[in-house]
Amino acid sequence: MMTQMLAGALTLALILLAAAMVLAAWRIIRGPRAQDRVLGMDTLYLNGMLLALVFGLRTGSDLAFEAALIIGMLGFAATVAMAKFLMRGEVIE
Amino acid sequence: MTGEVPLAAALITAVLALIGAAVAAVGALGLLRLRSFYARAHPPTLAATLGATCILLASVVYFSYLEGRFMPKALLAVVFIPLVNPVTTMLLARAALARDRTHAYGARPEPGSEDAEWRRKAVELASAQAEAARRVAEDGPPEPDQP
Repeated sequence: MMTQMLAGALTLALILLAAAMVLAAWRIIRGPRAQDRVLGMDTLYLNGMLLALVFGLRTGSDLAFEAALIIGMLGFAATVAMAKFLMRGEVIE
Repeated sequence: MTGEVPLAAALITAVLALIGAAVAAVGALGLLRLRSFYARAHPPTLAATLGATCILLASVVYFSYLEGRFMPKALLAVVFIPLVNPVTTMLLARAALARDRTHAYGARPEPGSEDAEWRRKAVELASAQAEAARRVAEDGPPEPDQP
């Protein structure tokens, strides 16, 4: 019974995070300007990372955790590079 | 779902994961609903701080009970994500401000929108600062106020 409750709660959390990713993707499509799209991508990867973590909880495997950590670090580098590009027009001067 | 965890651990995991996911969803909703870029920069930080911390703590609790020993691996990301996200948000906001201050490049916001209002204020401030810098260069620094 307890496991079923936990599975239900984690499934609900997965649905909420997927909805958050859809909303972020909508912001990327709608824009209206480049900085809004970068912000949407930032939210998208963050929610994707949380989704991977909750999926790892749901399946009981800690393999998803490494994936989440890599998404987090690469997403950070990507957002910094894009913010730099928006500011200067170049990533590395 | 593999393995069995005690009732208390399952409850804590469920509540923390649900809170984290709900907070992340609210943050994404705010990103979609708010009306100017500078307002939209705020809500995703909800997901990065409270949401990420809740979900990562849930995973620490769950895997610690599942393995029967303390599993601090998730604490790595607990420290990393909330520490790093403000840096990216601030860089992005400064880049947006730099683009608003100069007319040189960057798409114009839609006329009449709140973005257009912020851009007008940023350009006004930039020209006032340039004017002040020109005066300092011509006349020297201003006299300090006498008490």
